[in-house]
Amino acid sequence: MGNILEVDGLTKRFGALVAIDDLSFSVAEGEVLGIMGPNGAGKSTLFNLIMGKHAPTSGDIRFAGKSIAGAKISEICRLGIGRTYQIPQPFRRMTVLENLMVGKLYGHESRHVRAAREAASEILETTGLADKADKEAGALGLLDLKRLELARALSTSPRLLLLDEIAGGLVEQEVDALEAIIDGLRQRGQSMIVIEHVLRTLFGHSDRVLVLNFGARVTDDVPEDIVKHQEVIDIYLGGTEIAPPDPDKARPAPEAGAMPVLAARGIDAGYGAFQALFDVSLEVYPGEIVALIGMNGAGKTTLTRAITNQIPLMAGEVDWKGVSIAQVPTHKVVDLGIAQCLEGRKIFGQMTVEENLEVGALPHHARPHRAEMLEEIYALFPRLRERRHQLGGTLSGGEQQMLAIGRALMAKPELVIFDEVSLGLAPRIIAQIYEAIPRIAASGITILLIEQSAQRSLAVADRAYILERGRIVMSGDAAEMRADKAVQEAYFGVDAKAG
Amino acid sequence: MNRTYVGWGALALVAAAMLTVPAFNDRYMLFVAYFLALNVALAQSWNLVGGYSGLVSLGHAAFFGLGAYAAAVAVNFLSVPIAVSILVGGLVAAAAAVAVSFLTFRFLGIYFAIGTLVLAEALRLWMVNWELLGGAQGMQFPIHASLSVSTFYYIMLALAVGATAAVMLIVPSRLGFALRAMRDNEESAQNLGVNLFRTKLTAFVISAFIAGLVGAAHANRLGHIEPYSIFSASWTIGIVNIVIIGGIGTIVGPVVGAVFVALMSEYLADYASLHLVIEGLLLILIIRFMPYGIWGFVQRLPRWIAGTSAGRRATDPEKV
Amino acid sequence: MKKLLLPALAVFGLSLGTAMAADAPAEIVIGASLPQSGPLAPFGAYGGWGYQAAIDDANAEGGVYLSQYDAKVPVRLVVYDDQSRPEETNKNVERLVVRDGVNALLGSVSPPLVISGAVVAEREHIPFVAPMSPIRAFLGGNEAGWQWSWNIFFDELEMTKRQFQTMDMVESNKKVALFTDNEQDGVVMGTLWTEVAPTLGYEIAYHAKFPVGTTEYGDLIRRAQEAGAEIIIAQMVTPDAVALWKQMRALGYVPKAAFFEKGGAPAEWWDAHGEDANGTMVSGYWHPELPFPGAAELKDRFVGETGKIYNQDIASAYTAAALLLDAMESAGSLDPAAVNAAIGATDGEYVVGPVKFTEGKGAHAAALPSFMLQWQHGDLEVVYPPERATADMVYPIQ
Repeated sequence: MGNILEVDGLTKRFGALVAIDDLSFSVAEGEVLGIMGPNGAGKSTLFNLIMGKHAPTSGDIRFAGKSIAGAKISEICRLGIGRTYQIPQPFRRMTVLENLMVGKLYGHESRHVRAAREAASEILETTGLADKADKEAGALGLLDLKRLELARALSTSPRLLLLDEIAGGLVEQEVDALEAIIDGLRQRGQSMIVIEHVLRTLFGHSDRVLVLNFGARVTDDVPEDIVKHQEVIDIYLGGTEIAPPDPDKARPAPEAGAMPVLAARGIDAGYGAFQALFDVSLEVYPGEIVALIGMNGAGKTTLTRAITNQIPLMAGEVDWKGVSIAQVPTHKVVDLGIAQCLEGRKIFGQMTVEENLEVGALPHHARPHRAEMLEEIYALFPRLRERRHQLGGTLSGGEQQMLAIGRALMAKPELVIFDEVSLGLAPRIIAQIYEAIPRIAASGITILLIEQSAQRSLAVADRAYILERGRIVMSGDAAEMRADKAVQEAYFGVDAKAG
Repeated sequence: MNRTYVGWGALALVAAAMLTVPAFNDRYMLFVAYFLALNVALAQSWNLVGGYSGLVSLGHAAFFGLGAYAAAVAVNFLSVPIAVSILVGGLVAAAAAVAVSFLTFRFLGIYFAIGTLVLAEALRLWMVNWELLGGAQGMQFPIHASLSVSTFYYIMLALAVGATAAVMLIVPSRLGFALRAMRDNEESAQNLGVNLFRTKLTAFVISAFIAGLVGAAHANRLGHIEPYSIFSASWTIGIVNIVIIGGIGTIVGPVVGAVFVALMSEYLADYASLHLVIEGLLLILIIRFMPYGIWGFVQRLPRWIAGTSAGRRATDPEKV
Repeated sequence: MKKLLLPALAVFGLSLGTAMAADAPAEIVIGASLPQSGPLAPFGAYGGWGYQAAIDDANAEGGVYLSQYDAKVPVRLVVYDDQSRPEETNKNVERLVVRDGVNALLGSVSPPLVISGAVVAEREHIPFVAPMSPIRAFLGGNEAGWQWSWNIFFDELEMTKRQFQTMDMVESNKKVALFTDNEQDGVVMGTLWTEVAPTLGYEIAYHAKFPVGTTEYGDLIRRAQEAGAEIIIAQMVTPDAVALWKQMRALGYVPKAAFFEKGGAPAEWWDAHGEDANGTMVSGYWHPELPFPGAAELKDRFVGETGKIYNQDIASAYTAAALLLDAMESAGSLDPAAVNAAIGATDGEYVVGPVKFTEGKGAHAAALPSFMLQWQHGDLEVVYPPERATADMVYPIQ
């Protein structure tokens, strides 16, 4: 049994960004390789390289012994690789059956429409779509779209299947339904590479797990042992790059018995049929730094949206200083004194740094303080002062993140929500931003810190909550949690008794 | 399968009915029917790329105009019969489609639309200045050598029926699957083995060939062509309107749209000062209230009335 | 009963006979495709008014007398908008023939529109008279020679000499900048000016060519200025010409004499610039103070009815319709061939001046004498030739 896929010294650069860094690994015939890594580790880029969407900068990819680096997508498909996308990419105006027929007609030997129709019908059976055959793909629900995504990848009869977050966004029973299909494929000896953020799902399927970080290979091992590796724990829970909290931090402790500024009580929320949060409760007291920690897909961003009234709640309530914010329109939430610093740094690329900051001071109460706030922010991030007349779009990722933080502060908020502010940034920049957080809190602003990295956020927070697949699984004093090994289990959601 | 037969039956029936038009000996009827056939042929040609392949070309007038000029050159310089000149028109337009494909297929979405529009305009200006082919003055066809209006009608009817039949054959074929897949999602189509460039080129060339045939036939009937009007973007806008009004990405839609536009332009011809306003207003109303066009609306009507939630969703309009 | 049969048959036969000999048509239908929208719409309005005025005059006298029926037949004008687009003119003219059954056709504006309509008239064998296309462009539109289409307008060659003859009255360095668009008459006139200039002692220092609908002329204006041109001649549609003149003034390039052919003629030109249009010139072939029958009255009638500044095209349009009706009267029938022949025999003085179609090469066209007109405080005055002048020429432009 030879290797069906060999990746050798693969590197992909986008400008200055190294998305895949000298990566080598192989997949044996019939093997299922799981890939894990934090957001931005290069997992989807790796699929794009294997499938031919991007040409490698250097290195080689060999499929069944033949180099496929730089080949056309359609050629690679016909050689025998199929893929699915995290966000389903169906042919929306074609029926489910027709979607599969495309693969049969072009990616497989059947060149006759009638033969393709029959062959495609067989796949419908195995993927549980038989009753949806004549439904237009654009009208399908998420589970069926995911099924179709998988079915379509199978329609070309690939020797190697690339599955990207096939269970993402599904509720538990739905995940089970898909897992059953994938297990069936595995039984039949289908070679697969699986990207999956729900680790339990990933570990359940994989013969071996490869861990990526910053586009490079960290380690690989059997699923049972992979989270015992210290370097894996460091990637997710945060390593030692963040200094422990300043012992003589001059922040006053929250008043005992004070009313929380923000309180979520038993909230359920989601999108359509998909529920992302289950009975989540949390409280943030004035002057606190509270960390909300969870892996990718745990429901952190949904929680932010629920708190700021951007999506309707299915159950529960969010109170701001004891009053429900259910009736407050989204654009007025900022007037209450809640500012958000969004994941993905949504700054205005065609405006200068200073203009970006000034836009932040739009709420009425903030406008008179514009000049002094500008000074405070420049003091916090001197880099922004240097670049004040530069266009936002020309800043580096780290500078953009600083700008996003600055813009949030311009609104003179009482509470700032930092949503994954360290996402995709270099460690040096992350350190600078994390240094600024206690200083922001010292100026009297309450902070809700939403993070993937546990150690990093625990280092600056007063208290913390851990969110795992939509549920608060652990909460407590940040300093105590730093030392608690149970955090790891709660975080990964798998049994990982590290030595 | 049954639906396929119904489709071909309907086409044969409509074609047979249209064949009787000259027998009525009504020149006005023949005039309206001629332009109806012309618009159906052009709209089907555009629908193949714009409706089924997701290649929203705004340069279709260029293929039409090239067909017209190629026919004029063939008739004037090579003295070929009209039938041959029409074929030459189609072939030249198809060759032009191959020539520009390497450039235009690099553009996606709106950029493809703009790119084709710019190329067509550039060609128009080139023709205005190319003295060999008459420059701004254009070219003439020998009037005495022309055919009767009935004969031109039969030719245009054949092109309209042929274009419709071509789309009916292509859509359910292997190529049709690739076109529709590519329209809905280019990357997914490639992942399933569809060679994008080859597929786009095939659709583009077939479409240009039809437009060239129509341009050549019409030029012979016009008797005089000049670049401003024969390459006018108003041809493109006209057929895109027809397809959108009738129902984009359907086979019946372009026919319905062409009938609608023909009736509208004939009825509104008497209200010269108002007709642009009324035309614009109707277009806005249709786009607003019938986003899938008249035919799309008719297709959805039964389920819409039934009030099922699925009724609002589209189900394979391509089939009809 | 038998006694009754014979007289009954006789009565029937008589009625049949009179019907065959004397049943005149209920009306004469004349069709015209005119630009009522698009860049040529101003001219379309003058043309339509002129056509209707001539037809109204005929109807005021009971219609056109047709000797075949010994009856006067009223005339009706049908107009379709061609949106200034040749393909629409073509379609409109065919519609006029096949739907409205017109007895004769009147032309649209500018050579592309006129020729697009004329090819239909030729195919359908319907007489067609066009008053708003320069004759050389019209004749060039059918090398085989027109059979059913007739043109009354100015001769471009004659007119291109007028600009230079008028320039002789202006002190200048004799350097001229040409601005011509890519429309048919722009191309034709541009070539003619280039050919004629040296023979009359002028130099074309710069020639700008651009498509219709150009809005940005700054670069072209600078090049004309750099070439040292003190006189400009432009051949463009009104909106483009308005933009060119405004941008010239904005850039401080005011030539000593400026000719805006076509674009500078309609009242819209004055409306767009006001006093800034003072001194700009446009060649013309008519003025209400010229001693032609009904000239002054026609202008007064136009101003009275529309409240707008008149344009010379009302006279040529009126003449085209009037001579067409005259031809029908002299043919005595509506037989297309007879009417066509009668048009060709036209030789008379009309409101626009004397009209006679030439023979041989250039047949089917009647050239009108050309003058140079100048905008002076909202009025167009004849400034050349001196014997026809209605006012003194004003120069240089302020």
